[in-house]
Amino acid sequence: MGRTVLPITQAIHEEVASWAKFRRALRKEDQSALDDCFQAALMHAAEGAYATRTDPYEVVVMAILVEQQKAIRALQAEVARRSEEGSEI
Amino acid sequence: MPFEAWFFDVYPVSGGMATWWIGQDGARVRLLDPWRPALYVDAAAPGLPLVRRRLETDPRIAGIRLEHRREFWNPTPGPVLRLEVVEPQALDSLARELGGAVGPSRLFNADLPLGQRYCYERALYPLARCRVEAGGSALSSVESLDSPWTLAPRLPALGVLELAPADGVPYRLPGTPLDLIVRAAGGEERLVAARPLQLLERLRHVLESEDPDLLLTDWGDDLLLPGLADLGRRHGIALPLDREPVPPHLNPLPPRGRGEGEGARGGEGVRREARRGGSAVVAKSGRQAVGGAGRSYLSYGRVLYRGRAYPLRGRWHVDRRASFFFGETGLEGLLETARLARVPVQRMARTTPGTAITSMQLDLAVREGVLVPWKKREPEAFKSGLALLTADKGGLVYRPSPGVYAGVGELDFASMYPAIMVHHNVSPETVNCPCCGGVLVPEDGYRICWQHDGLMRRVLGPLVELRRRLKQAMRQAVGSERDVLDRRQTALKWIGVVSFGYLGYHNARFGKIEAHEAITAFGREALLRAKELAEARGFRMLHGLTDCLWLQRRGAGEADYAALARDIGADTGIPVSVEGVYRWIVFCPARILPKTTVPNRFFGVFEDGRTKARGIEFRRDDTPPLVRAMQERMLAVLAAAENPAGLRALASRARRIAEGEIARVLAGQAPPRDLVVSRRLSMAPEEYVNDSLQALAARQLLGRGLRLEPGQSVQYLVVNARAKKREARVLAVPLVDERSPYDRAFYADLCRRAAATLLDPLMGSGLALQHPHRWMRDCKT
Repeated sequence: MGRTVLPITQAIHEEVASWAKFRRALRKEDQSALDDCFQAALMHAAEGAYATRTDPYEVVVMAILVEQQKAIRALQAEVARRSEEGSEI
Repeated sequence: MPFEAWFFDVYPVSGGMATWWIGQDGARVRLLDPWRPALYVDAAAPGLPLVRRRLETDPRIAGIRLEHRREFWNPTPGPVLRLEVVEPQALDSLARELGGAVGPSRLFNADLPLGQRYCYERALYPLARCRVEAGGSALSSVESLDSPWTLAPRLPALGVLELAPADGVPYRLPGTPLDLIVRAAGGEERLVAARPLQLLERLRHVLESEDPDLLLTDWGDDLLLPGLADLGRRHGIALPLDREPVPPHLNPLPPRGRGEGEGARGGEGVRREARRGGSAVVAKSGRQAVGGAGRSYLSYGRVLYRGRAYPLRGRWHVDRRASFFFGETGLEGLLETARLARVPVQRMARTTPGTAITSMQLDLAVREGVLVPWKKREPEAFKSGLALLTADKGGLVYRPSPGVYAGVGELDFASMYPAIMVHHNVSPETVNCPCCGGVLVPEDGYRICWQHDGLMRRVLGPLVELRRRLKQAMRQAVGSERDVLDRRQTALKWIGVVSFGYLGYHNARFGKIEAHEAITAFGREALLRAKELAEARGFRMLHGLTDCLWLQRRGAGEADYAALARDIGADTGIPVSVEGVYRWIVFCPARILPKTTVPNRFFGVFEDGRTKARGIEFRRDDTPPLVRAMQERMLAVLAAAENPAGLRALASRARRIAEGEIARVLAGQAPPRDLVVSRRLSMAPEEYVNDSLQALAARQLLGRGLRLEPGQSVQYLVVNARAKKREARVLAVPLVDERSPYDRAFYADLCRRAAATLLDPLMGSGLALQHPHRWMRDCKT
């Protein structure tokens, strides 16, 4: 069966690959943060496929934002819990 | 004097079709049916007047008649010429000539496989119980007494003879002897190739005394039967493999084709021959390849291989290593499919579920008098259903977060795509129909006819219903009775799965890509509806895969999941079942990107103690037996855990199994046979530019005169993966013996990797290989 649409995972991988020079120039600690971002993008491939956006970059960025927001919320909840317990943050 | 008998086999001979019957008394009877098939030509075809006169005097044609009939894609009937053919075997050549003269699109019912067509027109199916009337050795009338749709059919007892190569190796170096294992009801014996005359005499005796209905072989198509026939010719002993009594020189039988079991098609000329050049190269069976060889083809990005076929006449030959249905569903599943699809058993055994679904459609068309347009005969591809579905772009394929989870319920839509076709009336001719406004498809914007029941609904509706009844019967059955029902329902599952794939397949007779797309759109809609309903009730969706959901809610039990399943079923119109509630389930991290997962890679244990694992080493064909067994033993240890905490506690016990096995491998004490790796070739041996291990192994065999084709598996032992001399890295299978040395570090690494798959998510085993950080490794900077 011929594919007319590039599978989303592959599209994301290609998008990621296009950032190779950027990644190379980053410091080592920043590289690993970037890697985390791209892994987050991969985790939302299904949602990206369903949305059928024409530019995979949009999917990548939106997925990174979602994962970041989740992390922020988790940290906020943790902060709230600790301050309720009266412990040092 | 009419008698009752089971319909056994059919194939074309001169004067009609030879049919074989199994009487109530156990007699095997051959009757000739002087059946004359017809083909149809569009009466308005521009080229027709030129050939009309010639047709009238053509001795192959018994009669010409003008009729009005409708064809499949067109609702209004039109004038057609009906040409009745004297000899069924002549239909093929006549159709080809006519196709050349008037154009293939003007021909109808011209290329239906003869055996199937005979079954449609006589309302027969394999092992149908019939009332038969015969005049001498000719069949005068037949009437089927039951239906292939019965839950508990009465079938005759079949005599089975099994035949296998004694060493269990599917290919052979030229000149090496082939000892046989022969297994019949009476017991098992080994026939030694070193004494060929005795072997042949003994086999002839067994065939004559047992007279088996079914010859069940390992690699009989490619290796055993061609080899035995050839051996017999060289020693002047004719083995009675066929039951067909007429000597070949009096009734020249058509060449044996690709499992048609019915004659002239199979057409070696139609198929692209896999064997290129190399006339001196010896076939897999160790003899010069004669005429028809196997072929390689591409399916879903994988190169696959189908070998030659060796069907018999009046007796069934099933090569269980080359049969999709036998491999997946055993003899019961094969028979179930052949009966429902009305396809002779030997053809069914050698084809795929796609053939079954197409045949059911053809049957319906022929029965309703609808003409079937000519379809260029292309090899149909092997579609391995479920794997393909998830890989295909159609379904929603989520990725779970890696980790260990407790109290997870798995909900499955039952036969999602067939159910969608039935529920939403999706069919090639109902999508964007010309007759009514139709019902809107989500996402795509296509419309589905609401006035007429589509072909797919009419074919699949009874199939889905029979599967439901079989599964229901399974719940009350136990032991072997339950197994039989399970194999039958699994066969139906495969037909359903593939029926969807076929709609989008360019070789399918009734394919239509829009129908295919409409189904996946309905499927995505259903999965998202299910997610929304679940989330509205406080469940969290951990993972979703086309037609399955993994959900979690603190304290939820089987009953909660069952209630949710019922409501999703009611909402979407597609039944949902609870596969089970897991005590614990592990979604494995991806190897290269450990914060991600791959969609279908997990293992877990249900509350009732069943384990379920997908995508991990022991489920893979290319894992050596030793590694597979080790991982299975480890999983069995872990399966005793009641919850994630217990799982972590058992991890060190599982780890000790791995350590013991690794030590044994490193000490050189593992039997080489257990370390053999089996891999499919994607190219011909000489086409590999790299020195991958499978390429080296294939070249090693080629050097000894045995050529494997793309798509065939090569088996090898890794001797020294890093050897400077490339030839010394592997040893291909017929050359491996119990003293062969193996690469200890290589196999220890395979063990570590398989152990790490289970243990890393639990404890960070420390067993894992140090993976180089390969993220973006392929990027050029």
